Amino acid sequence: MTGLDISFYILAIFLLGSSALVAFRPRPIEAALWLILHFFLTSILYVIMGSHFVAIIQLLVYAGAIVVLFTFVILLLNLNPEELGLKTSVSWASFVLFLGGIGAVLLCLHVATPELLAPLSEVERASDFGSIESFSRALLGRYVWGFEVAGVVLLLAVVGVGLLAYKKPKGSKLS
Amino acid sequence: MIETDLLAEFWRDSQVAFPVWSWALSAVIILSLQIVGVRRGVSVGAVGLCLLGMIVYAIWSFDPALNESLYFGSVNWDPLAQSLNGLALVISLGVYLMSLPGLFSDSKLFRLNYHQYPEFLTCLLLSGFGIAVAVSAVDLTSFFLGFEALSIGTYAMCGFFRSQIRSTEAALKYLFVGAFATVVFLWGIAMLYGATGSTGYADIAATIAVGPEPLVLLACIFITAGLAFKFALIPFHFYAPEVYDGAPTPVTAFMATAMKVAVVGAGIRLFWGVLGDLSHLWLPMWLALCVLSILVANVWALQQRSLKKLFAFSSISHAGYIGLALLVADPSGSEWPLFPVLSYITIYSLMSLGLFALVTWMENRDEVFLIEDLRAYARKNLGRSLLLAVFIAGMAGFPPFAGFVIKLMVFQALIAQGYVGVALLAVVGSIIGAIYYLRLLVSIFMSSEESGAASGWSGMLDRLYSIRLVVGLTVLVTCIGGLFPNVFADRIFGVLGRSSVNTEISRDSSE
Repeated sequence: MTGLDISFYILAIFLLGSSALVAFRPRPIEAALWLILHFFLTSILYVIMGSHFVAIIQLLVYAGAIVVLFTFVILLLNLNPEELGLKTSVSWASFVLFLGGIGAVLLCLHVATPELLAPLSEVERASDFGSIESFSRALLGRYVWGFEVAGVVLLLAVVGVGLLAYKKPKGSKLS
Repeated sequence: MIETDLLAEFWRDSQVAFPVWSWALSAVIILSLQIVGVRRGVSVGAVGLCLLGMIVYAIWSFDPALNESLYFGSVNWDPLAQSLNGLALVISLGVYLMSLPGLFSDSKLFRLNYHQYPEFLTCLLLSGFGIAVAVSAVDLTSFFLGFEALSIGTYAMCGFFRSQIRSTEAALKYLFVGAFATVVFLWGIAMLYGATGSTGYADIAATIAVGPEPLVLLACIFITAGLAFKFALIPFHFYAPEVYDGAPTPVTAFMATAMKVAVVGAGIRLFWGVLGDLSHLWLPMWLALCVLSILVANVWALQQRSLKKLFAFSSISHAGYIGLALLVADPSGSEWPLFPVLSYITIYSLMSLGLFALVTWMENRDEVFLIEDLRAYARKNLGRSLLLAVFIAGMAGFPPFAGFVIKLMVFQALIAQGYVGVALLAVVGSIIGAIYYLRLLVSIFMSSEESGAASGWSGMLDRLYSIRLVVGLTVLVTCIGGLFPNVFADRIFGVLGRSSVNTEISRDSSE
């Protein structure tokens, strides 16, 4: 067992722990903060796999944008545990049971299919694997159509939200 | 230089694929007009002009010999994509014309919500873009994104009548169920990619031909289920009746037709293009879903009270027939495989458009349109009742109308390919279906009781004659399609069928 392996298992334990905390903390805002820790740990996982670009994107998009969005929504709704009907935190027994269950499933998977977790061989991993240049070449070359269509889908989402949620300022007349 | 080569290819492909991205272009034009702040009527008119222009261009540029792979193997611009894109354009224009009179309505609901009509139309255009992308996709990424664009636009349009709880509820339900369907889709796509290592259909098909892996089989199941969700086949139909009922009627028409067009286009490519070698796997599943839809939907339709829910179940059973037609589109099985499915989807879409246009014209949006509201409607308004009768007879598949011919073609194709039992079950299903259609007709024309509520409604004020235009044209199609099926067969599908499989005229139209 190399140092990399050991660090992977330590990381895995922390990952599971943080994801369980996301699920079991009674306060939504606390859960969102644990989610940030979870995303940081996941991005370390990507670094171990050698894809630095994905690791950065993971941090920027998920921890940077999506959790901010979550937090924003939580603050907007302004829910507290009493309103949610959660007086106390979930019991430790179920917490441990959850972690144990998930961990057992993952361990079984790992034992059954060791090749899933095997690091990419040097042959498979091209020298520029995960680099920004190869990524952008793929995005604007082979996948340019999907890239552009995704842009249109985002535009549509913005328009759709406007259609559903736009409120006319008070006092403006109906046309 | 590599870069200039890429640019040149991109530019050349963009010229061929103009009918696809012109949808997005028109949406951007409308949005720009809105940002500049022109009057609402100007942008609404611009949508109509854009749609008309695109239809003219689609007809003008239709080239049955064209079969090009564009954008590095993401898009295949062939007769199938061209014709389904044209159909999507016609559907969108129909929906546009159906929703147009709401601008002039005096009712509070319409005045309140039509404030955002240009945004609604932008969603319509971008959903249409989704159809065009989905039917021309030969890559898993563009396939998925096309369906997403179509779905997201439809969710938003469902909730167009924001001040009405029914409409909002429909949008929310559709969003949740649709998100679930999306996940199922993605699951299948991810497995297909994981098993074959590529997203292009051609590469996937080549890998599958070598030897299927267990992952591919799972992918088959999930993609079939995802398509069944979008198609609203039983048992993946549960959202359809309530969403159809709650959504604004033009949007209901869009959902009942456009979604099916996209599924047909994508399904033909996926099932017969990519998974054709594995047809023994997905075919029984798809067959069961379709037969179940035809039988069960028709039985459930018998118990409905709401008119639009009835039509929703009717559209589920029609999805079953279209699914069966998709199934007999086996390129190796018959000499003209795409003929039944394309004629069915075209005629069905036009009939549905007309039917829902008529409902838009008659309905009082503040109340749920119940079947009993139509009681003795013929005494109040014979003209509309007769039009309704034509569409109902067409949907039911009564002989002189187009609905009969398309069903007959599907049954013929089924029997020709040896699915005699399936054909029998489908016939039984359509006989059950005929019962509730007949009951509706009897209630409209022969009821001696006092008139239902619909006779008292003033209905939509059709000031621009746009609804009448849609209804008139689709009635014409419903009648002519039944009386002279060869007109359709030769003029519209003849070119397509011959070019895509390179055979001479099929037996259906030469008879």
